[in-house]
Amino acid sequence: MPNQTYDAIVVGSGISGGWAAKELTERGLKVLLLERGENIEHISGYTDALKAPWQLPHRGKLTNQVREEQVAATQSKFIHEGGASYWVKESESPYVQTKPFDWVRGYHVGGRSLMWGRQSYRWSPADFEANLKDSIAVDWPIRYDDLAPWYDYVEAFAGISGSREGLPQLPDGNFLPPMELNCVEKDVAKRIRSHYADSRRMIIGRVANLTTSHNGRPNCQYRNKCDLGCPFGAYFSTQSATLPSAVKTGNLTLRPFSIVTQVLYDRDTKKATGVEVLDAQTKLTQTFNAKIVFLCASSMNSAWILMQSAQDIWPEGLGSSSGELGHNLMDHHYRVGASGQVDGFKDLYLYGRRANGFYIPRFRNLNGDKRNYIRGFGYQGSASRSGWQRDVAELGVGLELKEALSEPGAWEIGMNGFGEVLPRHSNKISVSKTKKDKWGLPVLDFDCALSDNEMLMRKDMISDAVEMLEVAGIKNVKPRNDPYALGMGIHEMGPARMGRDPKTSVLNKHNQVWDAPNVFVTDGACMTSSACVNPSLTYMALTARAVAYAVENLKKGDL
Amino acid sequence: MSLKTTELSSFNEVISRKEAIQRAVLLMGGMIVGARAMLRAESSTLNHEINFSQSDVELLDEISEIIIPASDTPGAKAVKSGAFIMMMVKDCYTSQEAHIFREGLMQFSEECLKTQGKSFLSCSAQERTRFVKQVDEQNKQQKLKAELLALPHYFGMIKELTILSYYTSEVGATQALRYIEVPGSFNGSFPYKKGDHAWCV
Repeated sequence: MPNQTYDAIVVGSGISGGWAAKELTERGLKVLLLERGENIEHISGYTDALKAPWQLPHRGKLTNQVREEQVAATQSKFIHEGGASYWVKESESPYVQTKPFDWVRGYHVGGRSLMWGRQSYRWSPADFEANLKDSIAVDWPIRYDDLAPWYDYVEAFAGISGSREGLPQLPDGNFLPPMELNCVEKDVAKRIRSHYADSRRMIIGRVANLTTSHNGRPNCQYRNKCDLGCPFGAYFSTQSATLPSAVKTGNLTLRPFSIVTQVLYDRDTKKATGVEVLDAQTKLTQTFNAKIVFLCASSMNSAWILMQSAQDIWPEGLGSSSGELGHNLMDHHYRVGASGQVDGFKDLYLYGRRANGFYIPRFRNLNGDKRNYIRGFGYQGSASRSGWQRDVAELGVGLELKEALSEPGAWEIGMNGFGEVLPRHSNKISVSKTKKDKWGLPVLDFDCALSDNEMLMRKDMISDAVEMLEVAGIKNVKPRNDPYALGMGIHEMGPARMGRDPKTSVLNKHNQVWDAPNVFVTDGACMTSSACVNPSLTYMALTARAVAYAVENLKKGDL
Repeated sequence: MSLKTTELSSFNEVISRKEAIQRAVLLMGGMIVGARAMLRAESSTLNHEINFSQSDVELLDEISEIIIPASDTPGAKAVKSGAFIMMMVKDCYTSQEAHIFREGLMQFSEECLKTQGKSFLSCSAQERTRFVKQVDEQNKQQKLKAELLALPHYFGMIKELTILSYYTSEVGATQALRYIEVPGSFNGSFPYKKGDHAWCV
């Protein structure tokens, strides 16, 4: 009979769960790490990582089978033939869209830490104060200063490369040397900085790819195949970084194929006693016990687990006493921006495939700027020379075509805005009464949409991009205005938000469920607002901070 | 990623996915490839039974060789473009696209018979080139005057798949282009002179 009792249970093995497992085991706790999907071993599990383009049968293109089975991933455009199996199939794990939502998931050890975009930005002091200042939703129960030392801590371990800019809206971190802007980007960056008198800046992306060897991991090899899994371990993932550390302690038990169906709650002690697990392969149910439970199952699934728990006391689930569980869904809205063609630089090209681009930090509604919407957005983009894929209608057929396509085309540049989505009670998920997944479990129903604030912001996201490219001398600038549905940003946040008051929030300032203090939620579910920067680094910092608090209080006998 | 017009008003209300796609298609004007991709994701049937014969493969091999001929490096036939194109149409095209492709290939043979007086495979190299250039011109014209949601021309499909097949093949990627599996470093101002090959990726 395997051990059923641990000091701590961590649900989910992605970015947050990996961090929870590392921190808890390193503090001496015996930890059970539960993952609903299969195991993918570091390096040996990355089956497509070393394939050349011609070794993929469809040369990277999606087959009809993938499009039919992996709908949200297809819609997101992040999935391609290599590594396609990492993305969840709706045929097995469906969900209901009362309103459109692209739920892009990865059900395996490492979760989306294997396929993530790796852009890593700190939130700013203003981001934590924004809800209070604007009198919307609820105030964050923490401030930047509460999290700053934990940003330092997680950056030091994960390895984030970036440039120090001294910008209040994008605090500098504990960086490895930055990657390099390419020749065109440097020129554009200079022109933008000068035109806007340094109130707008184009900087190199801050990215969880190593630019020097770090903590026993080698530097990035510039293959730009990160989302297949890195055989060098050169970007941060559960497999490359947190899992090996947790395993090394001897305190970790990893259990794949373990779908947590509920947190078990004791109404007398008002605490969780453990979790119930459905084995995804045998379909048998069993119970595991622990003193503390960390829910890191991804924003939506952590909320789903809470909704399925302690229903005998709260029909809407553990944490629902606030009326906010499942509400306040957020993402980052994008797919708007601009692109254009670059004159010159014909004697320059790129060597190496930089798995990173430029970043333009937020400049709207800051430093006296005032728009007809609140909050702001940043841009991500890159410049490059077009390749053989460029439009060739004018080139005809034959030797002329062959010779032309064997050489690079002109330089191009494009940028894409990522905007803040406001937390709204009306944007919600609920558990479907009718629809079930492959395992007979009820699935989530999404009912959420953008509102006026985001729509107004999107206008600026397009026109500001056009203006900046034109200012920089880019030719034939075209706006980008593509449809976006919530979820497409793959930055789902908010359904179990932190707050100062149990009547209006699900979690307290230490990520504890108000109604069950030994249950911690530290993934995107906990977010009280979304800011406009990529959120994963903040999940890492929040998780490490919550673990330190949990273990300290466990040792004091307070949990 | 490029749109001809910006119609911001279309985002100013809550719209369903289907509406959003229809509007985007309207916005995109002549951007057929993008429009196709959107429609494909939403509504078209993906499963289809499309069958090709060995003679179709031979025909496609020869057409693709005219598109990308052997020179100091091998051409498209050498990388088995015909078989690749067939597989892509079968596995990746929607039923509608596959139908256009199938009909188009028949049309190609018929037109060749009509205008050249013999089958494409019986034509000389010069005759083949002349005829393929003619068809390519048709494709170009259709693309230029492409009306909203106009269907793609079959020759555009053959051309696109030939180019994909060739430049991502080992021969194309390493002889007509350059490919380095592990670059090891990055240089954003790498010297280039006319004639240097492009990177495959």
